[in-house]
Amino acid sequence: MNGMLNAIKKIYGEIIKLFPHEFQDESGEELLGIFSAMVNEAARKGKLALVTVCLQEMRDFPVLLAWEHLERMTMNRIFRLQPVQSVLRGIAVFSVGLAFAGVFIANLSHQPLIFGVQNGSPYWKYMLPGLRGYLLAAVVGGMIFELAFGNHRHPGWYALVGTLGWFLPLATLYTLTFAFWNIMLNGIQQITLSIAEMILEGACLGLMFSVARSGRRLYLWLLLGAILIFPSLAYSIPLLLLHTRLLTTLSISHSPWFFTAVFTLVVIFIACIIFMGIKIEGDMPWLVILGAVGYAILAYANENIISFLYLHLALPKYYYDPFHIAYVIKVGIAGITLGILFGIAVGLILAWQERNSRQVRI
Amino acid sequence: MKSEHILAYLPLTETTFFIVLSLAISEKHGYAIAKDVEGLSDRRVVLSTSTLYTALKRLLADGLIERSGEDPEPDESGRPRKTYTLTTLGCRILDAETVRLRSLVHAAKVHSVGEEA
Repeated sequence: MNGMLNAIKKIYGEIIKLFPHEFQDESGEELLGIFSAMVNEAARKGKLALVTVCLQEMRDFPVLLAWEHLERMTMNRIFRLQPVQSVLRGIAVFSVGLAFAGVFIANLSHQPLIFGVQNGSPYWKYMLPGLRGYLLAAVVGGMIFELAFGNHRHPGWYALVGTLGWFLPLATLYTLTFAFWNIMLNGIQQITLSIAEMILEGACLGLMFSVARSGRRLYLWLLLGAILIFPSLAYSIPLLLLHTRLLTTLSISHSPWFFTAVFTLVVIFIACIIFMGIKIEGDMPWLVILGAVGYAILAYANENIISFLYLHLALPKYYYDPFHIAYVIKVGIAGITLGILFGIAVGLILAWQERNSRQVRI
Repeated sequence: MKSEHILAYLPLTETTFFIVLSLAISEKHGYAIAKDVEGLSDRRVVLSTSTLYTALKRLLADGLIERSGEDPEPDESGRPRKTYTLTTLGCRILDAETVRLRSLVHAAKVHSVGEEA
């Protein structure tokens, strides 16, 4: 019994070492003394009493431990912690960026190409006005990126990279969305393609960090090149397929080939982004990977959060008129919540990378 | 001391009440307080070291108790034991809480007498 008692007291002594140093100096001895007296008396009563005392301590000490650490850590110190800063910056960039993207796009970019087809005008003429919204959203996204992550030595660099980084997925997906009609795809194909599109969007947002941190103009040019090439291909390939199909079968109904071609195109885009990430980082491009995998998952989770919010805020759920204020609010809230989720994930990866790089430097 | 100031501390939690009551009898060290609380509450309130420490710390911060030095008799391991005593504010708050509890009991008694009638 004595051996067990000593072991229990020793373990308690080790637990006290988990508390802040000031606490250990001030009250560690006192607590250990009280605990020793308690277990000594419990041991005299029997094993059950001893177990009860130990269980009681196990139940209560985590709260005291957390409280003592929190109390000594002022809010100012919490906000100065590197991981907290990274997460807050990530949240700022993506919540503001995605909210603005949603709102601008909702108001400025809804210009279905079907009107162009009806009027016999070229498609692209109807696409250009819509790009205003995406460009504005990208500029706002770039400015927030500069404010949150930019450094004084290269003012404007993050704004430039951020603008291009936001514009690349927005322009590509916009072009792709309006380059063909959804009726050419069946339900499963539409869902599969939208997941691939989200993976592309997330990967591009991750790549934005890689390019910005590299500080090299070559990668900025690559980003600019992608902005010209991706939307051009997203515009021309489906159109080419559509015309070919109309020439051969005079039908626009869905076909597996059409989906395969468009899906492959998006997969190629994703592969290019990941390749660029590897080239820039010279290692595993974790932010690009996180963007590719995490963004789609978080966007799905966000749908549920938005549904929950709308259910509890009693806001109208089915408004698709882009000029209706309820629709704009909904798009804005969806952007903010997705931005918070994605920002936290990006912030944590940034903090982890920062910690690793510090360890390497040491 | 204004009575409104005292009333701001009321009602006391059961744990706080028993700790203050224990120290009203005499100054004590931590373990003696825990044992006394257990006895006074008829074993309904059994304090762990964490709960006891948190309660003592809050009472010290609020000025209801103060450290009165060290017990001349060290614990079994020879460690010195800090002792605590009730302050004047603590005494007044304990009195006010006792009056409050007494009035509650009185109200309950009157009510039950009315029911019996």
